Amino acid sequence: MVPDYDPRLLAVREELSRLTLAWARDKALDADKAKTLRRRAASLNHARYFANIPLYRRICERAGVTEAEPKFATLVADLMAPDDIFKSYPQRLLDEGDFSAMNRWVSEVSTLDLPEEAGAHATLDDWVESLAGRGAHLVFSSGTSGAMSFVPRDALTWDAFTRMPFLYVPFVLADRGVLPGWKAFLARGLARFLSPERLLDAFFKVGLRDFDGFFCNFSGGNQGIQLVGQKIGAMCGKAHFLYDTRMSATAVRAIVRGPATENDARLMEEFLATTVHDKEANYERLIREMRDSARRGRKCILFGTPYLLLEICERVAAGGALKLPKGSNVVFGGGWKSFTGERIPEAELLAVLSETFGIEPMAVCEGYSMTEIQALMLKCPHGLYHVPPHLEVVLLDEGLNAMDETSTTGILGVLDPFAGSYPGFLVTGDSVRMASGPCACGRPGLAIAQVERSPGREVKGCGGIMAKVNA
Amino acid sequence: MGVEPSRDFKGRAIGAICRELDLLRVDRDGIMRVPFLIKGDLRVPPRVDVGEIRRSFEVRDRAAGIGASGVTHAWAGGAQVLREPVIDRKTFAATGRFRYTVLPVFTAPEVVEPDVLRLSRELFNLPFGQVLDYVGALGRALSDGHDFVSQVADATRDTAELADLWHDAGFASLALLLDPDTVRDMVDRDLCSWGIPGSRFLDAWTPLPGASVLPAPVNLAAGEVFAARGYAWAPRSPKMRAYPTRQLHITAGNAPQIPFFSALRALATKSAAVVKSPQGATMPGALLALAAVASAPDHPLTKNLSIVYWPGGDRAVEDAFFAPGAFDRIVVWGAPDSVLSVKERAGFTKVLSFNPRFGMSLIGREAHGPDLPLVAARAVCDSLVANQKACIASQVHYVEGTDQEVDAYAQEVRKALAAFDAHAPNYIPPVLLGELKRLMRGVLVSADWLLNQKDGAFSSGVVVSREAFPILKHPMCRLVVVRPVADLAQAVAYMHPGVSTVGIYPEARRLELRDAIAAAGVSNVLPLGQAGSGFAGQSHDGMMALTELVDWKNG
Repeated sequence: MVPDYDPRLLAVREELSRLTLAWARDKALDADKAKTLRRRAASLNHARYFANIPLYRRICERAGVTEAEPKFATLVADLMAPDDIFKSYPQRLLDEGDFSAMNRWVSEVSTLDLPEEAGAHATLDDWVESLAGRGAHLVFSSGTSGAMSFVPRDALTWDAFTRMPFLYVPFVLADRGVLPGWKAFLARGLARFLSPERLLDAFFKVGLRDFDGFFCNFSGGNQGIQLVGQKIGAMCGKAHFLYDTRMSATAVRAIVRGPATENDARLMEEFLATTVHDKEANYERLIREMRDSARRGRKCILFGTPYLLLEICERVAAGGALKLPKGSNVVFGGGWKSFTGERIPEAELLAVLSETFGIEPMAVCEGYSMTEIQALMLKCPHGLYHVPPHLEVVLLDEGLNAMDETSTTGILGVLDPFAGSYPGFLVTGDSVRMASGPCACGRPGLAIAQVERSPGREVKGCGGIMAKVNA
Repeated sequence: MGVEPSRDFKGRAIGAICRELDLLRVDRDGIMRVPFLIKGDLRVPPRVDVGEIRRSFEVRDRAAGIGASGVTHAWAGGAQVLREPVIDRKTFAATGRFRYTVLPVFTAPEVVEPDVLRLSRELFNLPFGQVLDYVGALGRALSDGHDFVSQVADATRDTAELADLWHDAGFASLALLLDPDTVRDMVDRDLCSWGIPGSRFLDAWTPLPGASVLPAPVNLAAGEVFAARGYAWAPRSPKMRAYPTRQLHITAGNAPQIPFFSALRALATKSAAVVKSPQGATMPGALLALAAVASAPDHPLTKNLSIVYWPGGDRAVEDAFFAPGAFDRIVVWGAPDSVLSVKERAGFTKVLSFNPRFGMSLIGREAHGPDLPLVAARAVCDSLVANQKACIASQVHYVEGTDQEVDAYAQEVRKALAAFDAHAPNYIPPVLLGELKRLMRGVLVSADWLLNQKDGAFSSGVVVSREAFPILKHPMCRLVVVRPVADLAQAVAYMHPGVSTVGIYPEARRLELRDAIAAAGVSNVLPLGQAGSGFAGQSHDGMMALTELVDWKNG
């Protein structure tokens, strides 16, 4: 079902993981080596995609590029696909519930070779679940048009998606003073002796056991930011979710495009019951559990999109002071999406969060990522999203041409060495400003100073869905 | 800033006025000064140093978000300045240089007219014949100034996103639009009611022969209650009038004639008007302003006409314009967000919106014969109305036939587009080139692309998509999306009120499908190749526009 990986690619990835770990642990980076490794990975991935992903091969053929290693410049100029490629299936297939044809599309857009017959699936959720059972993980995201994107991951890419960020995120949190000194010391020490894989195993076992997690998320479902919450939740001593149920892809699509079947209508009703009708009860429960953890002296992690965090702040303020124990922190991401009208300045948001939960401003941290990459960037104490060295980023002008290395502002393109099952050379829908010069936090390498949605690009994804259903 | 109210420009050539006031000429710094008309007074912008202009844009650029498109408007030296990239007309690539259009400033109270009694006395009762004389005089001023208008066309060509053909034709047609006979036809047909020509309703309280006036129940009861007082209900002699209004026209720049055309509707209805020129086409409005002060400076129509520009979203202007009572009608053309914003904020004023819409073509299987090249040529004509930027331009061709027939049709359309490219080279802004790449490698990656290129870059093309696609992603830059259908009737499923125009081949199929397509919300169901054609007095976006612009009164 999944083509074998070229051992050379796996070896390059292993080296990139080690470099990333060293960068996280020691703030040291052999930038030239990292660049060489990333570009080697890009070449090897090109060969893998060309051989196994028909739609990528089509892009190559249109550009006159063969299987032979293209120059990096050619790769950036001619072979980068927009994130739209993950919604290039005919919408009618989902309208008609034709999951056999969806299987064929997944086989076209990824290295996954799914059977022609999908079998009988009552809903989109059933189909997504059945594929997960076969080792094909579809991470979904929905834009304001309701055209969902599906990013197909094989076991190895899924593993990188769910684990890779934790190789460096704890060290960035340590920079912010969120981890206790002894724990940061221990993490750095272990990182010297353990392989990246062993270190991650150890982190997942004990890393966040002394925290209780509170997530303005669904407790299940394969949507980007939900998955981040679920993954962190699995590491915490206890995890509480605002919506203690699976996020249904069927319901999310039905809300925007209308239910096609009675089953769709039922799932949509259940979804709305959880997110709209029972919203206040859910907030009340989550806040009650948070107060209980605080009373017991348990450190808390609060995670969600900015809009939902603001909503929870309003409700906490109405119910009396809530001071979370020292060491607690708030992490947010996903942007304001369709709630841009409610947007408040970042400094104001940080102040509200810090004041509401009685925590230091440094314990409030924003993350940046996207469904299509195996990376998560947390803001450092100096306000920059440091790009982990395993991820290649490029800037593109509005005509999607590569910009020269002196440019600091443009559309963000990424080449992800760990995207093994789908075309990982991607033009995002975001415009960024790169930081110029070294960061005062001491972390080397590239960093993003500012992110905005590019003009004309659909508001999508994580925060978008949550925003819709909470409106 | 210079106001030139006391200057007598009457009878002078518009070119001479511009030479004297240094208007509509590009100087060595790339600056062009463009006047406004403020209730009949020519308002001339101040002279602004190019260094100050550049500094203002630098500040604006820094303040703009990183995701924002290029900043196009700034304030500098007591003026408004518009910035447009200069395009090399041979390579059709941006040169990296800019043209700066310097415009005066104005305030809302200067152009809003609160005194409706004055308007009633001075403007609304003007005989329609004088309107026609006025339009004729404007037309003569522009045709007499033909050489100067051509110079303006030349001077502005290097910032035009339209191909030279459309740009030049747009300027050349301005004088032709100011034709009294056409305006008379437009008014007589559009405002025609009760079989009476519209101009009579515009001029006077007009009797309605054959109207049967019925009493209200109260009148019938009163006949009994007040009989002793001698009360008896008697029918009145009904009269109706098409009363002029105070109009605000917010125009779009996808075709340079639009601001002119919109202003003409205001003049034709004897209405007081403020016309906003669009950002990319301030010149036609300026020429109209110059023609007005040169031919009829004291005419009530000139005295109640303002032609201005302000950046969209400027609350200082728009809050006053959209306030209840400021205008009787607001006409808005253009982008979805502009239309929505005006509708939301001008809740108490009647808004006529010419919404963003698009056109389609339906090609029956009868096309797949010797006439195929001609059919493709007609279909391309429909697609290239205003270089595919018009709301009536066809973006998608639904084609009946086998796969081979559809592919052959697509090839013919590609060849027809290539011929057009050779005759009228196409400029495609970089952002649209980016959109094309996103389409080719994204949602339409599975489709078949047939491209025409110039120097390795896209100039036009056809994409054959077997599946539906999101129309909002269409870049409208000489790209035709061909969609195969087993039967043309299947295409009706894709029609809705967002579709303005459908051109159909052959005629028999058009007549067969016309009712179903109209019922789906489409405004124009025309023979293939006729999407861009029109006549005085035709409906526009489902409306008789002049009928909506006047206020129908009983009296």
